[in-house]
Amino acid sequence: MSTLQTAVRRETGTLLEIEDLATHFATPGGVVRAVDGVTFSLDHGQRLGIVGESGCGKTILSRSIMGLLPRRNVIRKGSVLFEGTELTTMSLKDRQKIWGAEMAMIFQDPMTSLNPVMKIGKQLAEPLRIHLGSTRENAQEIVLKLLQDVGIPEPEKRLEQYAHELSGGMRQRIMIAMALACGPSVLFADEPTTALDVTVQAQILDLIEDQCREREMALVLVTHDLGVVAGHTDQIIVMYAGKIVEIAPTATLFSKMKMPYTEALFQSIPKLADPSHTRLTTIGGRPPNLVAPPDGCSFSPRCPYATDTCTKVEPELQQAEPGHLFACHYPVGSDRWNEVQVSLGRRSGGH
Amino acid sequence: MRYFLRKLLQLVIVVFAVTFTVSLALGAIPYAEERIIAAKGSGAINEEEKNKLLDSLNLREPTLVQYGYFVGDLVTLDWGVTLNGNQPISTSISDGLGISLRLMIYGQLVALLIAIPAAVFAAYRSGGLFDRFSTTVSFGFISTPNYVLATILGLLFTVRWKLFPAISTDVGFFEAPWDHFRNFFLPTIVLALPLAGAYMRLLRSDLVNTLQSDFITTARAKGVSTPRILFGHALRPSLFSLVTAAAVNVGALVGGSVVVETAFNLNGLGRRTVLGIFASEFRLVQITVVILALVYVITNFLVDILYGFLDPRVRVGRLG
Repeated sequence: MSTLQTAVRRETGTLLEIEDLATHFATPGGVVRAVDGVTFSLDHGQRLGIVGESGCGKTILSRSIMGLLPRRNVIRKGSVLFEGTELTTMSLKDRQKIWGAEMAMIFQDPMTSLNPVMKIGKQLAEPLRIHLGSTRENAQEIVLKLLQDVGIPEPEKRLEQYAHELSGGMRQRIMIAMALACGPSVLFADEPTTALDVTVQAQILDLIEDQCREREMALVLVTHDLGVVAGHTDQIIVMYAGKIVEIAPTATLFSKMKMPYTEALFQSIPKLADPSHTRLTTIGGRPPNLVAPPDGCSFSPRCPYATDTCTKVEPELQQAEPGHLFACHYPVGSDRWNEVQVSLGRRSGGH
Repeated sequence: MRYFLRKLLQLVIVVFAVTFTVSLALGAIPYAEERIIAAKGSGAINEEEKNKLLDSLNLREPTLVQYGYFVGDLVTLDWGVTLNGNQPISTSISDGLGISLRLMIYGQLVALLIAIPAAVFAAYRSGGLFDRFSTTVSFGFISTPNYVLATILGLLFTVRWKLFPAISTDVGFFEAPWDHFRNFFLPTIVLALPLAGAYMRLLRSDLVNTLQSDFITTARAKGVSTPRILFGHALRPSLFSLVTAAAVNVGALVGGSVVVETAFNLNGLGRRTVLGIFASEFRLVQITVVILALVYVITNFLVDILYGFLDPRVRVGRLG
């Protein structure tokens, strides 16, 4: 067998513990509360999805966890424990030792995420050379193995190519190979398929899933597409206006969602069973201004079930069952919800 | 290959246009013959010598024949002698070119050595203290005329502190390195500071843009150290404006920084050309102009190749 080692972790238990994490940007227009008090944890090998509309803080959350955001004009609060080590107070030098080695990230647009003037081989070898101190020859050997793992044909040829010579799907595979290079324990995938062709999307998602399973690597999959997280995650966080509004195991979330926002997201997925020319369901309005979020529940201005209470009192996260939390005064299935459903004609009266 | 041929054709066209114009220009000068005689010293030569001189310059031939002779002389390096002093024009030009080339290279090197690190650091902390400081200073350098800088630095370094000679002499580097340094230091600095200011601002703004690219975030997420991100990832794709500006300056500086050469009494090409114009040394000026045109065209050719090296996408676009 080959002498190559792809670090496989057999650890269990908590990998990441995020507590009350907040990231605010000081802008000329005021403080943007992009991430506002987020608490959750991620186990070794667990696959977590973070969903929400554009501008609700998903991307910033994932970058905040890694500590990738610039320091200037950014206000950070809360704690990120990575295998028991606090990341938020760590120096840049120490964080650089974790980036690419322990935590890796792939991005939305593979067209712009690779250095246009550096050969693919050199970019792929970089994390190996930095973190593992690999020699050029050794790194090349590992890189070729990685390229095979992510399903790139003619890997030797790719090493000498530049990003512009490859297709979008191919580039995303390169990005994944680069992220996997040092055998990280968690992969952050920030909208990894959004910029890709639909046919390629499924391949990339399957690739990510296979690699996670094979390497027992945890995954944080950030997306606006519930369909994407459905098949590829164990747990889902629904974010709205910088906050977690619902968190549940994937199966639970799809069958017993509580938060009207989750319901609205779910309803806006086009269904195959719908007759053609069915009007697509949308969520009216737009995500709130994060400089001055509305009082009470931030979803209340767009929520069909909202009452005066909703616009005044911010709902706390409450437990529906162990592992399933939601933040809503009138969750799906409540009396108020039934009432509105009836008045909307979606459902006949229960009694 | 097609790309090279196209560039070569371009080069030929430019050289033809320049030589033709330059050759014709002589005919456009009023009283050219009389000026030449006067430059030679009208009383000092008799009628026979006068005719010989004018014949040697082919002044009485039809325009096209003149052009033919001019090109022939250029190619065979039969450039003739100066009117005043009978010095071979080739010697005069090569001496001047030697000085101007060295000044150009020193000035460019010093300017780039100042500009690149300053720009990288300013862009890394854009909006920071160093950025604001260096932007202000570079603006100061850009807006200070050469002759002011030359006068002030000359006063301080040569008159007050007596560190450098006030009148530079062309001492060869290999004969006397220290004297060479002393003689070229001040002209180089005067030449380099405004360039450094301009270069810094160009590179800084390109770098600031590059540093916001997605691939920089990718590099950061890989754990690449900050210096490696700046110099290994961000610098190369940010060099376009700088290379373009530096290339333009190659031509301009070889053509001579007349002011600097005059201020430090260096007989570079620029100074020789200007003096040549006043002294009716038409032949010298004509040949200098042709050489400068060649320098411009060749520099541009090299820069186009350099673009391809800086960004492989350019190679595909132009070669493919």
